[in-house]
Amino acid sequence: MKTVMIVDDALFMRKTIKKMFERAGYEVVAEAENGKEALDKYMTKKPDVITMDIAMPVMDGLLSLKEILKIDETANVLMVSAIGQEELVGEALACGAKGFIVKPFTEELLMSAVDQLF
Amino acid sequence: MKKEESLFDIFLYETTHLLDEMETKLLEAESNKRTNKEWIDNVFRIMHTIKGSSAMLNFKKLSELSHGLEDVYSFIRDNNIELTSEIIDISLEVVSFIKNEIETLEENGDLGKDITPLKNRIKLIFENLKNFKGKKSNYKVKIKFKKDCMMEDIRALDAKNKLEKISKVLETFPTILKGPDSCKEISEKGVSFLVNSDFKESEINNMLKKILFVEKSSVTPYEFKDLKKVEEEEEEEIEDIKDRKHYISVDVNKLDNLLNTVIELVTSRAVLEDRVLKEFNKSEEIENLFYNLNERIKELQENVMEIRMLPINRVFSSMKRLVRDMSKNENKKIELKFVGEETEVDKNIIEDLYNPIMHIIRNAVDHGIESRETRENLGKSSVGTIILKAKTEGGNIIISICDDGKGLDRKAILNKAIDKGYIKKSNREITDKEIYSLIMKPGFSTTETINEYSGRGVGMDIVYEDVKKLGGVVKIDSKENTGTTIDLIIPLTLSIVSGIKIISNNISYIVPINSMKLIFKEKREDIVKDTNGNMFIVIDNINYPLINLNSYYADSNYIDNRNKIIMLIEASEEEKFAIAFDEIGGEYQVVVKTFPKYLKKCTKSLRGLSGCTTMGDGTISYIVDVTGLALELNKKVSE
Repeated sequence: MKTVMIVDDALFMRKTIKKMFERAGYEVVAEAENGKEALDKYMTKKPDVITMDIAMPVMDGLLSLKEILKIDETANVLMVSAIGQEELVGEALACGAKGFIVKPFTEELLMSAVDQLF
Repeated sequence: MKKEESLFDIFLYETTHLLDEMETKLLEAESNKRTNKEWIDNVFRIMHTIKGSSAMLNFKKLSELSHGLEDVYSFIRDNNIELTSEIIDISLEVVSFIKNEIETLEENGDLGKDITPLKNRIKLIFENLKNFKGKKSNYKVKIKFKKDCMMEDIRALDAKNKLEKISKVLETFPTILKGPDSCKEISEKGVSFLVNSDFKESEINNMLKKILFVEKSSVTPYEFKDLKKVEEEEEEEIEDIKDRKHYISVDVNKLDNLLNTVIELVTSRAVLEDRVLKEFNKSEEIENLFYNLNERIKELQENVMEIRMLPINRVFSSMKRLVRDMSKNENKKIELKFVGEETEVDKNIIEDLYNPIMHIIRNAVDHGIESRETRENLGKSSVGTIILKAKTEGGNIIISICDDGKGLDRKAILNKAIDKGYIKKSNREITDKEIYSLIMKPGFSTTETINEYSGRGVGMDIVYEDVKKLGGVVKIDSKENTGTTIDLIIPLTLSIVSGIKIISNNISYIVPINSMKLIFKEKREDIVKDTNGNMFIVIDNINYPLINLNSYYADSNYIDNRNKIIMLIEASEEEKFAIAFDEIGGEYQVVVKTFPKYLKKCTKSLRGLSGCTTMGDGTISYIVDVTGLALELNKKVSE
């Protein structure tokens, strides 16, 4: 079973995304409230997929992405963005994010993106 | 200042010609996907010439624009680079721009509009060219993203960045990827890139498949042109100058005046001949003198006419651009073919032909030729064909516009005609030709489609009016799923006609000599009548409709028992008929005068006559319009 880490400062988003993954047969092995926490948990859990929110306290998604890729340049990081974050998304893609989805998104859309990573 | 003005006229004339030539060449290159050194040289030379001349006249903007393109083509030539569709497009844009703005040259002292955007784009293309040389392959890459994945513009930008790692991205469609407008466009239509890469199609496609939310992607080779390096440039230059024709521009009014003088000369000669022959004894010497005079006048007339003649190709070529732009816009593939484009037509006619032909072509592209899918489903070639034909026949020029589209909808036209009250529901069989001719009624249109090019699909009434003004007729033929052919039959403006004088009931007529096929004395037994009283004559076992000029134009009560002379007339290849009259006169060169306006209402008594002429003895002859007469006959028979 493929493993997932969900990074988002909003509990609601984490729970929603978690449900989507679980229904699709993924195992959510970690949740993180900010980029720093995500970086720490990545070291121990090594999830197959990371969904990464962009605007978060302590360490934002972009920086977290960069740090994770420093550790493992093949990490599958999927950015979770919203309209208005075009610039940041562009940067994330340039840094090596595998792709991005835009809030609000459907389960179908999220899964079609995640499935494509493997 | 007089001198300057005429220089300016020459400049305008030459530049317009060069732009036409360039446009033709560009379209040629686009459709052939092939150019050679000569092609590049030619286009380069055109830009070079325009640059030079406009700089001489201090038209800085014009000079700058042509200079920009000149640089591009010179670089292509010198570095053996492949020509891209981007370059063709920008060149066509420049041509259109200058053509549209050239009128403003005189008043503004330069092009009216701002050239900066065009100039910048040329500059960019030139920079790209300089950064990129080599012999890699060009591909067109198309991507369509999954529905609702949002921020399609950023995704397209990402795809571009990824493509850039393995190729050189030459162009993107839309040109600007980022922004709400592009985002909408990309989400609806997808995004395309023109790239140059040494990777294979499949390798590029595999890379694309890794991009998230790419639903469909395609990589197809994009053919560019094979160019050879310029060799012995100087030698070429010398040849070029030798080959170039010399033109002077002449005010059309001057030509019209010249033609009028020639026409007066013809009449004066006829009067003079008549008087001389009456007052002096007929001698061989006088006859010879008149013969010589006649011949010289004929030559003069022919020369003047010839100056006014232009190949119809002028009108035809301008349709290439129309078809190209329209089919691109409507996502159809259409091939435009020419037959007889070298046919020469009087300048006045040429100008008036542009609009009718354009209308018909627009209709053909819009409503005639089906979409690619429909064509394929019907088992037709996915590429539609429009053929533009020109030929001269019996003193007429016939222009045919044939398309292999879906044809006219007989039923829809009939219903609409009944709706609009053009025809009554009747039991009578209506022929296809009659039905098709209904579309030329004002405001008649069976389609509600509106687009940039065809308006409301109307236009056939305008075509009809335009052609009528030229003294011509329109014929429409169509077959469902096979296509439509529209013929414009227009008399060549021979304001001087060679004809045979014939006399019937003391009225004299002139029949154009080139439509006359046979003259003989009637034998009563060869004439037959059908149940409606229509007369026919049997010649070599073929029945031809027969018109007795006496009863046709003159008093129908006139008792007519003289032995008639019969003339077989060929209006066109398919249309032959015979006329019967009393006497035959000689051959004359006559000047056609149109009927005065107040007579034009007498349509019935003037049917089949194109005008009249004053003969040398001061009498009047009517000029027989053979095409018109043939039409009248057809009408009568179908009634």
